[in-house]
Amino acid sequence: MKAVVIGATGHTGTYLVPRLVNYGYEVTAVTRGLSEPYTVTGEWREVERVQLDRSEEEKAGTFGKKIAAMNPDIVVDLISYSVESTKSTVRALKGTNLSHYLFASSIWEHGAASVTPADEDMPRHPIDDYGRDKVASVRFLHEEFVKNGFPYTAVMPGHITGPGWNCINPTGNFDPEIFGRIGRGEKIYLPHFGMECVHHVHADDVAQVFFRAIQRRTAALDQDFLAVAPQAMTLRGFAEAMYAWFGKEPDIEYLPWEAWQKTAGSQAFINSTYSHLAHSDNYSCEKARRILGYAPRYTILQAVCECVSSMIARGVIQVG
Amino acid sequence: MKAVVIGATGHVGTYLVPRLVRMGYQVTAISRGTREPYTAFPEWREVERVRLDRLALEKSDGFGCKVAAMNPDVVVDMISLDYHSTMETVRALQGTNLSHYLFASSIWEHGAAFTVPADEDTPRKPIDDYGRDKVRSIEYLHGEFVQNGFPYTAVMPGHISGPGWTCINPTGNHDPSVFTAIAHGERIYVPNLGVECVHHVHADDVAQVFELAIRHRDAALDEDFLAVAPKAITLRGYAEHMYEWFGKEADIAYLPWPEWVKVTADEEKINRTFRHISHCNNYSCEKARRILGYQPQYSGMDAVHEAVHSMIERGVVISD
Repeated sequence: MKAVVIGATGHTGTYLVPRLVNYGYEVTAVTRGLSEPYTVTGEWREVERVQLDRSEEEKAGTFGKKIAAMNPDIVVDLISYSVESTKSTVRALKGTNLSHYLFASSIWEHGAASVTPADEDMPRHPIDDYGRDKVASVRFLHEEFVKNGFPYTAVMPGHITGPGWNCINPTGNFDPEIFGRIGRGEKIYLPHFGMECVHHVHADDVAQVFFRAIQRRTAALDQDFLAVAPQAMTLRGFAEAMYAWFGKEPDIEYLPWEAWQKTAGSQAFINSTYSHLAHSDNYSCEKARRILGYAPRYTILQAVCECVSSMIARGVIQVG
Repeated sequence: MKAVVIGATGHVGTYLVPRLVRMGYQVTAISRGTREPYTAFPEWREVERVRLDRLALEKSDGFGCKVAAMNPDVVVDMISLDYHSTMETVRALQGTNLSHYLFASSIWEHGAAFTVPADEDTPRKPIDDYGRDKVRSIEYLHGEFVQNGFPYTAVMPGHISGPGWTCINPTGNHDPSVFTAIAHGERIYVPNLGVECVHHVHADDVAQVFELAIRHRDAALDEDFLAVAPKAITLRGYAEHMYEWFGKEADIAYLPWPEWVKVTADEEKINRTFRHISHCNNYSCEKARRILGYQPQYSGMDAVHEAVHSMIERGVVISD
């Protein structure tokens, strides 16, 4: 049995590839460069590494063909960010021996929070291009399933967190210094009343959802699964928990949006925070639990604290 | 079997008293005045009505003993709003034939949202006197259970909605003119980005939790149960939904808090809204489902629809 993982050394791939190897798959890891996974385990020695620059290959119309030529039973596509990219890959895979195509979508198929926690049965009202593209890809996949039996499953991860990269902080952006300030007991500023939610998930739990979808193929076909921690958390709750984790007294000032923007380090951070506030991410993982037997290993805070520990170890933040 | 319901003609009592009658209880309904229940279900004809002014009687420790003298098997206490009130009643009931004391607490045992949806296992950090008093009452009841086997169960309802009274509107307060504005397609103002949550529940679903706790007494003793609709909703989602329900184009202006306060210009409404959005209400009813077999009959929006229908009928909300 052959599995091809596209974008294999990313957050989810780091944990999914070893699971596939352990299960007995012959795994081909497709990546643009020669990057190593965030955490290297022994299983990676058994993995065939293939370098392909997806966007360049797609321009030449050769990407899907090269994947199809590997004759995979399973393709896990972790980096398809446009509907055109999804379409060309899927078309190339038709008529091959492929039995399962797993597509990494996103919680941001959902737009601004309405009924919460949002689940897979709620209508999609994406509010940004990223979300709209994911919705378009999943619609295309659904049509291909209905018309041609194309065997896909979509997984919608939350804010993927784990050791080796920077996770979303309590102000709703990726500025690592927010964790640094909290760790030193300094003041941070939160927009509004800090009641908007973020919904992290450990990369290993996302890998678990992909893996269980592969194991329960028939139940998973033409289905989508939110891959999130059991609960979301508010920015206020997140901030207070991080001060407590560092053993510091919380020092949080709440500011209206206009005033808060002046405290953010850059326009990119402001934009990122705005996107997170507007979505106010809060999702249910009940469908993955019920249908796939998903049993998340990490609470949201455990996932975050593992990430922050790694940021300290890597010197990304100094907490004294 | 005798059941005494204190505060029997209120939101929950309106539905619980008929349920108790159908279960075969001889029901005594205690209320301060002679107000009728919000809906006059036929079972009410079989109910003994007793007028007692709890506040006045408690000053001389004279309330609990009157309840105890009724020799009830079950007491449902809907209106114990402070800790001293709970203590006075419980003391009088010790040593009687009482087999079950059900205490109406509140979701506001929980304070500002941290991990969401909050559940019964989430630590209590109330942020207002109302919530603090409920927590104190529960701590007292738990102590009485542990030390003296006092058989209590606590139920924590969400924002109770139904026909006959005014429910919380999409700006997070009880001003019915907000519904009137929506009904006419006029603009309403929502604070921040409107992603803070409210969590309604139909009064009949709260009554269901009380009934099930009585039916499953052994499983319910020394336990607390959140009584909420399956999902919470953001103010934004709520507002958009109500425009759609009235068949109008949504016209919602999102204002930073200081500006929203200026536009609203009514201290009572501002305080109410502030309390709701600083809690950011979002709870789980899984424990009641799992242990009691709770099956909510109304979504939060179903409960609101009934409330708004009734407000229109009563002329509280004016629609076209």
